[in-house]
Amino acid sequence: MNIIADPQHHGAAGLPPDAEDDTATGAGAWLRTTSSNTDLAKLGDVQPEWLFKDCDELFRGIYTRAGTGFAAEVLAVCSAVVGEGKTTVSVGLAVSIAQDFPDRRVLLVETDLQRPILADDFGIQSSPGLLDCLVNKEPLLAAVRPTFLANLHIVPAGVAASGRGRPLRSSHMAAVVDAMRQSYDVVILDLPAILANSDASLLTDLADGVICVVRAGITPVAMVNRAVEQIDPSKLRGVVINGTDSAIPGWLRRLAGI
Amino acid sequence: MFRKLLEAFFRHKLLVLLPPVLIPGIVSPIAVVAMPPVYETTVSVWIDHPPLLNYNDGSSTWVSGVQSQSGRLSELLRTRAFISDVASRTSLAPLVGSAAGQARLADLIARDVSINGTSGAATTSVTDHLLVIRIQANTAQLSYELCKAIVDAYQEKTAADQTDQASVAVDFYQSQLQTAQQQLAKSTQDLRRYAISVQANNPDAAQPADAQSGFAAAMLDPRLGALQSNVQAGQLDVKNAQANLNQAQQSAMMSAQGQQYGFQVLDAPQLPTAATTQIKKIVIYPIAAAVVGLGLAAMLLVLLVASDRSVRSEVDLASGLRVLGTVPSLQLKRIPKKLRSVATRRAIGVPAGMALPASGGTK
Repeated sequence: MNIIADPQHHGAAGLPPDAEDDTATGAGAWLRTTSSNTDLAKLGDVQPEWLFKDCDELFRGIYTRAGTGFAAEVLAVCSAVVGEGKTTVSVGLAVSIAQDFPDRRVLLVETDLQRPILADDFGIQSSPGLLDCLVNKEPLLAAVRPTFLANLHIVPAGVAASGRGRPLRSSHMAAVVDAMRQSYDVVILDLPAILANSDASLLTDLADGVICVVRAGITPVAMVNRAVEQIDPSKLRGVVINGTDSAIPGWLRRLAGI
Repeated sequence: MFRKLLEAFFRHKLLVLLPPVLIPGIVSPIAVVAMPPVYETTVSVWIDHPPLLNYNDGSSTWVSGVQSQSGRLSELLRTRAFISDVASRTSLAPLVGSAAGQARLADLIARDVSINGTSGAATTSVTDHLLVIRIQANTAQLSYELCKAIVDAYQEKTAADQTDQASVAVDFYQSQLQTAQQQLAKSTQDLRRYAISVQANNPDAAQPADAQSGFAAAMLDPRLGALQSNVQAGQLDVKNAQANLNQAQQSAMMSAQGQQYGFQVLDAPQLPTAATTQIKKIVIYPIAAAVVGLGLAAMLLVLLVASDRSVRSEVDLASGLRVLGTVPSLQLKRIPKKLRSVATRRAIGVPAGMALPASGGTK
């Protein structure tokens, strides 16, 4: 199945509505995605179609074991420190749930205001985003962006500006999350690193379940334990180990049975 | 643990393999260059027991002549007296006087003298007749001198020992012969006196005409019989002592001459003209360095595993933490390393419309 060009998921032109607008305004970001054949060719040995077939099953297993999918809930994805792959896991879960449950609405929310990357990844404008909803009291609808998957929407973090205090600690954040609950079946909060940003542990209180991401071979066990200590044990669904790779050659692994 | 060691090895293979490669690579050329030249002198000796000469050379039925001689030589080389004797025949003579010099000589002999391929005083002989003595030294002259001195000293000592033994045996049998002769002379004198006294007391008694009549006279006169048997015993002792003396003299002579045939120097020592290539040492140093390097690599590997506190698999996590899944790294070889995590995330998000990074490095 050609996921990228599947017209079932995309609009008539294969683009979300505002993506067409972006193209028209000269942003050109979505054009990169739609002309992804060129970019995919540059990837060389990686073909996202078969890549995602494997990843799809992988994330399906993760959200199944986390007990997510059928029930309406807010799921937070956090990590101990920065760069452990929270957003990767969040995106994977969101895409996988959205594809597996076409009748359920999925929202991916970027809450790491200090390191926003979702807008850049999707090639969309950063603002309005979550920050605008919290600070400028913009309606949530203004921050929600469609994706190629009809039932998956994203909320970018927005443009960070100094002197705005700690918006994530405002009471309005809980109201925004409640509004998300009303409109979407599954809300995935991409949290900041718990040990780097204390806002993250506050946000876990707003979620129904928390998944902690650990970068294999990087994050020390002690840091993982410290991060996990800050999460309500009843909400902690489990740990996802990201970036696992074995340096042992395949033939040796088969030979030694490891 | 085995898996962790393997992981650490393949993850840091360049670092781990560095000591076993680098150390022999450094040590071997230095060892070869720094190794002093060694000159070797060889002497081949033919050991045989002359079949036509019946003498005791110390050999036995159970060991060959080579084993016997090499054993003797090895044992002698452990003695200070023999080493001093050898050294005094060479340019090492000044070392003989002091205790430190003696110790140095003993070390030198133990290290540099090889008998039938075995270094030092230990010997294992695989040949029946050929005894090969090799001497290695830092100078050609010393090597030659030591080789020649050892052979000469050994030959002289063996000959001197046999001469000493022979003279002791000859002296012993000579004293025995002398005693027997004195005893015989005394017995003969007693018999003669008795015969004269009998004849003086009984002038009418006729002298026995022959042995038969003498025997009859002895039967009639018990004293005469006893004196006659004393004379006969003395004659037998003298005869036996004479035979033993002859045997000892013959053996001494045969031993002295037989030694020349039993220990024939076939290849006399010659002054070496070129240094010997020390293949064994050239090989041993790299092997020893490699062993040391491997030991260091093993220690390094254990240190790497012990110091790795990061989470690599479920077993590293605290008990009670549930692992929902593992996301493998993508092998994006053509993507710059710093962009790989971005590429992975975007590749996962492609179905939702994420843009992939170009391989050139731009987002």
